[in-house]
Amino acid sequence: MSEAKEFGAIIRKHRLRRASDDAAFSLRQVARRVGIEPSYLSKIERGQQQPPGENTIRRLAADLGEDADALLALAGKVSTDLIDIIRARPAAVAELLRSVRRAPTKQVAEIARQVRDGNW
Amino acid sequence: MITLKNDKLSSRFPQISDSLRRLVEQHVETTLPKILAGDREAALSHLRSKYGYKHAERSQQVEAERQILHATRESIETALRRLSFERAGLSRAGSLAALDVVFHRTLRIPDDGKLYPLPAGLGRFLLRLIDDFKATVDPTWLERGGVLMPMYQSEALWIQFTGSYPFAVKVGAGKINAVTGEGWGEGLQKSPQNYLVVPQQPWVDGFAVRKGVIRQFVAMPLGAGYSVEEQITGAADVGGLQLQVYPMKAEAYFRSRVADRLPKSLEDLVDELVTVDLGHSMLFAALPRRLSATSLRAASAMGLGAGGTMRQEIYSDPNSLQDWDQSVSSRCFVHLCNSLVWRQITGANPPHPPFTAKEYAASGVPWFDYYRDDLAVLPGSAILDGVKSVFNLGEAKGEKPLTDNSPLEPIVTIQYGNSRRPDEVREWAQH
Repeated sequence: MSEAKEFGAIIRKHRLRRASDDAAFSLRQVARRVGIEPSYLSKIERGQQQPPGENTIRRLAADLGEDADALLALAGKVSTDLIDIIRARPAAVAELLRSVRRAPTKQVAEIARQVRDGNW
Repeated sequence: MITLKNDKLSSRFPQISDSLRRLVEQHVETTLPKILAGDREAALSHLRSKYGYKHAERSQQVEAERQILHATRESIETALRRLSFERAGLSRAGSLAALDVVFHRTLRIPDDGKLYPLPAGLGRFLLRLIDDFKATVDPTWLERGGVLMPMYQSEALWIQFTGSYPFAVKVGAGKINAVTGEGWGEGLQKSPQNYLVVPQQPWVDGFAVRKGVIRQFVAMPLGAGYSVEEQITGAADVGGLQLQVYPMKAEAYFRSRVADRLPKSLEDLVDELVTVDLGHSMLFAALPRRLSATSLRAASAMGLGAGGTMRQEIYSDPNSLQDWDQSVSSRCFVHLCNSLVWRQITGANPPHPPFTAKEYAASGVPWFDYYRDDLAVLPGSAILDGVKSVFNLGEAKGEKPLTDNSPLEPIVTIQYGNSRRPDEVREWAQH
């Protein structure tokens, strides 16, 4: 399936799931809240349009209660803050990402993270 | 440096482990020539006195003696180094100078004048890095860094410390020291001792009010007047829970805990050098472990107030203050966030509400006791003893901050420590 069709299908799936018990998730209402034309959203969902830009995808994710990074990835985009991180240390980050590629999700979530101590 | 994984805070001090490694290596270098220059008679005598040797086949005995008599310089050096590092606690995978801290959900004991034993753990409190919620969290909280922990109003907690290396740990609630009742201040002090010593203190459940008595840590919305901080300082500025961890200096640890246990003669290396199986016994030391079985206003910041009274001793530090390394320490601010606003801040569902006293009693989950008669006990803080408990303050204000304060009859107790109190009946076998 092309990127556009895959992205659209996921958006539609999430929206319909919410719409099944909440009328606020009709195509029209979601489009209005996200700030795009309903016809445009309809085309996106049917894969007739390329996925929208980062900001729109973020607003869609927030409205549907889904993870923005996941939707961006599906749309073939990488969030700009992640791009900055990769640019700053390309070799180290690439190695890190390759090492977690085959790790199960639970294991990835369990990676130890440093706690920042601030002013108090 | 402190890391967070699986709702556990881990503090590591690799520089301490490295210093210790150097001290042990020095021991090996000075001891090896002495061993090589000496005779082997004492070692042989020791071998022949062993139970395993006496009951072994003659051919095995001959082989064992040969292994001592003809041990090469290389095999002696290997044995000396291996055993020395093992005795110093350095041969395990991972860092030696490491402390883990976990916050446990638990039963809020009634505040009815009775002295209760220690309730069990009912699951770990969730911990999240505050930096993961920059967009939704109060900027004052972000400024402090640290972690976020959800608690319901009037929910209780206890803190577990795990580590085999000595640490001095300061614990604060709203930057009021939970052991002395004084302000957070800088560094460690004795008279009064303002810290706990791990591992002799495996758990702490509350504020040290009297000798052998604590008042349980109970979460209350900050600003309602119930927290210990508000009663002592008159202000509701800080809230939360504070931790600062100081390791023992490597030299002090080496001198007091390691030096005497290191092998010094060939005799000490007999078990390492003899590979013939003469039968050894292994002793396992059981670590004490408490069971973990599975709203005034919805203000988001919580502070800790004083709950019911519990039998718990805060042990006096038997070391000198100079033994602690105050040049390195790890700190963490634990923001206590009202569970009712957890979803707003983190986007995730809050944990289920705490168990009631009825549910706890009906479940048959035991209570615990930890008692050491080899350690001196701190007398508690008069300042903290003077603070009104949540229940008493509620009565004075005409409010009802606690939904249920009916008494409990804890009868099943698991004993840990090295002694039994004469008046305690030991119901369960020690784990």
